[in-house]
Amino acid sequence: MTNKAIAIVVVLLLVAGAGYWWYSSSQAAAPDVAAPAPGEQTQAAPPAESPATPPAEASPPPQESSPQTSPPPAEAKPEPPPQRRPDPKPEPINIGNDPLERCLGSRNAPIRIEVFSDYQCPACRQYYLETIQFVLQEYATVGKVCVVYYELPLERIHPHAREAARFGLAARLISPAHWVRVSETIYSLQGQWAADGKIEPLVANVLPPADMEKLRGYKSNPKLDALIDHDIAQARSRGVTGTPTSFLTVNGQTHRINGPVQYAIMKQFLDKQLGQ
Amino acid sequence: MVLRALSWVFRLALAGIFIYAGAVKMYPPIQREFFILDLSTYQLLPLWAITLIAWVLPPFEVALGLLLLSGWKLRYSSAASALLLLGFMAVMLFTYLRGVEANCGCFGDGEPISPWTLTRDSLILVPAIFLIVYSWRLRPPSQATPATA
Repeated sequence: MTNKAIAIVVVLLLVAGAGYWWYSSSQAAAPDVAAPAPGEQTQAAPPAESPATPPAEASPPPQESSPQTSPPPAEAKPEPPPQRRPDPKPEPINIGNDPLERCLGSRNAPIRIEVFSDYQCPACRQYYLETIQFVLQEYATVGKVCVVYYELPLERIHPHAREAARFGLAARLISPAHWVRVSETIYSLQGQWAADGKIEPLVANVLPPADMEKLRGYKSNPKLDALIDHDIAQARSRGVTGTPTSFLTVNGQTHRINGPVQYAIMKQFLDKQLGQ
Repeated sequence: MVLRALSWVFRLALAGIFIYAGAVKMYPPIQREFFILDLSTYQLLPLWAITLIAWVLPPFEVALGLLLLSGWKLRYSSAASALLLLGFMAVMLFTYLRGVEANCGCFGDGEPISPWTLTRDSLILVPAIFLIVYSWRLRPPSQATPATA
């Protein structure tokens, strides 16, 4: 009798497990990239910190506050209408949908690191500032690694992520060095702009006016949003639901990594693969 | 009779799972390097500890799987497999509850820790616990006490 009862319980557990497996498989068929991942946080990011070592592209340290970002004092009389900046002339985007065109480093590098990232995600900030920027500095600049960043703004939980992605991608269209400078600024000051979405004054602080005008030109091109949408579609097709998610390709073998990797471990991996 | 059949099925299934889980982390050799990266995403251990686990755990899983396959010392191999699975689940649950986005590292394929992976590992625990109960209940007569013989 006892034996039969145990057997029935075990069989029921197996049937329940099989049912859950089937249910999970059918859910996984249509991933929602905008859904919050387990690692995502909905609150504002912690205050910005300076990285221990500056990145390869030395940039002036982003100011914690600028005159452009300080709110106007409260006044009783009605404010005059704000002076609108003339709409920038859209810059033509001569880049295709192939993300390798955005490779930081050499396209023919033996190792490729593809990162799906969201500028408003705290874990992405940690991954960029503590690992990727040093990988760029030590390996990408000498052609050993190709780093490709895909924009994956999780807009449901990060309302300003797409705007930040526009700045990042527009900077990349100017040059890799501009992308590094702008990305470092956006990630470093995530705690400032995540609340109000005022990214432009922070970026303007680290770019010369001519470059800033060019960046505005790229931003006003509708094709920029199409490129972001293409990145999101890439994430969907590769089953990416959270950020940061990386794909490391070495000798034709690709491995997916969910979440940030410590730089010491990434360095050990890269050195081993590069035979150093 | 049913229990005996179930014990065979569960033993072979558990053995297969452990042998597969250990083997895919060791071969091809780059998988061990990928496994180190997976362990890093848990953000729990220093580099030396991660490297040690990456070298020790996969062969241990294969050895445990072979032991289960042979059926020799089943009560100890099933207890070891249940303890190992409980350890995996505790670490995964702790990481998931901390809100850390991490690789499961279970079968070397880069899947993230999720309710699905936690449920799957819980289900793998079922045959392990069954085998513990089964093997301790059917102790050989030489080890049985006179009262229960």
